[in-house]
Amino acid sequence: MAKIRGMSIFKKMGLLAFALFGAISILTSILTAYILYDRMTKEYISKGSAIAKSIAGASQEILLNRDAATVQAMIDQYLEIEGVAYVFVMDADRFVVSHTFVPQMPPRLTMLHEFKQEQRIDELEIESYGRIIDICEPILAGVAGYVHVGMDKELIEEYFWSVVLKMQVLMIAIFWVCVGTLYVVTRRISRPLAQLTEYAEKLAAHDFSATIEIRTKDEVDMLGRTMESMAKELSTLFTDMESEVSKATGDLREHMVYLSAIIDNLADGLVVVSPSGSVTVINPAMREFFDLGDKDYRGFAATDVFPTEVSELTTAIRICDSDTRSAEIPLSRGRTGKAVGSSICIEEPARQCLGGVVLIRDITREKELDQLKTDFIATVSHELRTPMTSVLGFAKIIRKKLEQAVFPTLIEKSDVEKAVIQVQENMEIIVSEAERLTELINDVLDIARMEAGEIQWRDQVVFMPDVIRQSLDSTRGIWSVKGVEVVADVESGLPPVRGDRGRLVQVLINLISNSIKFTNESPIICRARRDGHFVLVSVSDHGVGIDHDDLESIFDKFRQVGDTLTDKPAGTGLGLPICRQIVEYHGGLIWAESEPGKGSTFFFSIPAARIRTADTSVFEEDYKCVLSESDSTMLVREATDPDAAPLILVVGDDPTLGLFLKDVFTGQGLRVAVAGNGEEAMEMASALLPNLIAMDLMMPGMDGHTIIKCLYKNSVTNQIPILVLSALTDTVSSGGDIALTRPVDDVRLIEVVRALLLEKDIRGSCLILGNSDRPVYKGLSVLCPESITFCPIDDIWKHIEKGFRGIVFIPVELGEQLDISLLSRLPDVSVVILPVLTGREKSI
Amino acid sequence: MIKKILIVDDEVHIKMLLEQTLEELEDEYDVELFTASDGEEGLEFIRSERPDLVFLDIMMPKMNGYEVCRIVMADGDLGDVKIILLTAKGQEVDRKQGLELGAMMYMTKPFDPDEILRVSKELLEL
Repeated sequence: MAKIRGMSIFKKMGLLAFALFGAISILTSILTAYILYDRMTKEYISKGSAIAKSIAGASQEILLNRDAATVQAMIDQYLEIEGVAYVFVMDADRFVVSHTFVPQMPPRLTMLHEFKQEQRIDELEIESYGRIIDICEPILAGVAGYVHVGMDKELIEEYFWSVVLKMQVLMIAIFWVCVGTLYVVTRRISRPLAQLTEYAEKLAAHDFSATIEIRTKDEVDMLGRTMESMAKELSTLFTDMESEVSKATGDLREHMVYLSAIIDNLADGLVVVSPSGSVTVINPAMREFFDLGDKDYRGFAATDVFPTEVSELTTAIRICDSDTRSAEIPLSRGRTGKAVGSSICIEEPARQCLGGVVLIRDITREKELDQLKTDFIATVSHELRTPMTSVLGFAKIIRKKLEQAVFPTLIEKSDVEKAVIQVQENMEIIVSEAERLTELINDVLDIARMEAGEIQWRDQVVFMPDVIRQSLDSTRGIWSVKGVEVVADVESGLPPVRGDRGRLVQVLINLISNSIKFTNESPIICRARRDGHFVLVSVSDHGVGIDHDDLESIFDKFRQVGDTLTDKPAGTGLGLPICRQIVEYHGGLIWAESEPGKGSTFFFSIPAARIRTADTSVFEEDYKCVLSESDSTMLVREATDPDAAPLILVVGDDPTLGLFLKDVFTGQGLRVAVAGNGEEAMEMASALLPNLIAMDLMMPGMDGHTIIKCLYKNSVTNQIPILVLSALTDTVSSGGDIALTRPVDDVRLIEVVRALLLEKDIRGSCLILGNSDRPVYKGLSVLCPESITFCPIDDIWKHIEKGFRGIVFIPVELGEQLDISLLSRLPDVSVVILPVLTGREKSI
Repeated sequence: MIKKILIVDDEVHIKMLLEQTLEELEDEYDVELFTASDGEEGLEFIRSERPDLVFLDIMMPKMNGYEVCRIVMADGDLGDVKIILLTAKGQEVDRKQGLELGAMMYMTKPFDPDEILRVSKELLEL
């Protein structure tokens, strides 16, 4: 290959030399030939012309004398001159006097024309003479005749060609000498180049041991040496790099082995799926969980390998989001697993999902323990409550009997008076201690259930001022007896929170009662403030305070800090732990600050519910409920007569079920309204305020669960009991107050409905805006059996602040002066717009 | 017409407590008290005597209160019998279960004797 390259250079040079030499030699030849030809032709013409002139000058006399022999002798002499082909002389009559032709003159020459005054040159072709230049000279202006001299042109051409030939031979000789020299020189240059190429190729093939033998001491030699040193450098670098790479590879392999050992030895089952849903990693624990054997499942679709529950999880996590999903999954051999799935995302260079990973933990044992715990709670609950029932019940009966039957008979006898008083006191102690014990049992069970996650929490929109009001009302008994004042200090415009109102009230009651227990000084201040995204509630007192070291531990179970107190108050020691459970469930924090001897402050914070601007006044996630919420304020409640039967709203799309329910309820003397779908149900519930809603869970469009949620969230309808009728057996989670499984037994249905109607009565007190002297309001007493209060429009908020709960009637003409949407958002406050009065209504 | 109240509980003391509590009604109104010590006995009595009001304990040997309640409610002839479930269990699920079975009320132990009196009067329309 190197040879070919060398030859290639030579070939190129040769070809170039050949072309150059060819061009030079041809051009030189043409030029030389042309000059030579031109020169010789002119010389021949001048020679012929001289001969003709000489003849013409010498032969005038002779011709005039017609001496042909002399002329002949003269012209024969000229024939000897080189290049002269012929000479002939004509007289004035164009008769040939003499000529040099043998044997005779070609006829064509006699036909030539002549000029009388001057020389004439012609070129012609004559047979047996070839190409001739004929020069004609007149003698005495043609009077004595003409001389023709013919010069042989063939001679010129012969000479010309011989010159060209010689030149070409010389050129070719020079050319070949050049080619030879070129070849030698090229060989000398190309060989080291070929060696270099060979060497470079060896380097390219990583053969750094090769050497190069060029000792020409020129540029190529230098290049070779540079390449050699470069090769040495490269060889060192390569060796270093190779060792680095092999070390790194070794580390990596070790690391991989380590990682896969970890994955293989995980007690939890692990499976990784690719974005397309195929299994990429699966560990032995996972195989064991599902009895998958030793088959290599990599590349299989997760849906083909695992049961539906796991497949669903793997499908859900294959999109890139930060959510972690978990599910309880049945494993083989009756075990239960807790699966947690998350997607695998990388942020760099671009956000990309690499699939998902699912971890499954065997929680069979935990489930069993959990069940044991539940059973334990139930058992303890039963075993403790039963004797407590007897103790407390009998104690109360004894106290009653003593007071009603025994003591009056003894009152006369002064000697037993002291004993009677003592017995009375002792009975009080027994009852109050029994009640305290009951409270303790309830608290223990409460916290046990919270810790076991067995509490069902309600998700409501809760207004903190409402919680504070309710808590103050509930604790009024304790603090008014002790002579301590509790005041509320609530920031206006507090956002609502989401959660279980009853439980939040429980927290606050607990904190307030605690403060009352430990203080004798007024006031205890209950504050509510907005703190960023939280609503912060605090209870401050001027009591004994808490030691700094105890501030944390008071929230632990059974950790009353009683020993720092001279007077140990009664309590279970579980109040604060329960509070902490409740607050933490709501996503908040609870803590205490205190200065011993000066008082303490308990704080808890609950995240504020996200609410849109006041004009829409709906919760962002509850867009489905919007319609009914806003419409409810514009609908007028039906006027009913005082003895009207309770109204039941039946919701369902199945006409047979609707008809059945209607029959059953009307048969019981109840009034029935029927709504065919969710939207209608929401509207009718807000408008008619039924005493009970009976609904089918399965409906087209807005389903039962959503309706229940919306009804609970709507302040107008959240007090209405809901009875769920479902074909499903699992109705506990339906969200209603009570669920019945279809087919429904009518007797049972009636009993349940009766029980619900007995339990809940949504009718509260009524507040009417405006003057009291309008006759139409008499009819409203039907709705408001308790009381009707008339209130000037400006005083409405004062009433609300004071704790008003019930229905607010707003005459339509006053509606514009009031923020009705804000009013309707308040829990336990319903808004009813009274229509414009017509003459007929006035007369009622 | 004499109104009959049946107390079904396996705990002797609870039975006594209820009896002593309700004696007040016996004195004031036309009310007669009966007791049974387990579910089967209670059910038998309900079937034969058709009491107006039954205080029914849930956790009992032989037949539990839910079962008794279910059978009574399923029997069309016994439609007038009002049942108050009494239990030491205080969990939400139990309460629902009881009311779904058709019980009129669900009272948690320990109960207040005065409350028992008040509810009885209400249900018996005294």
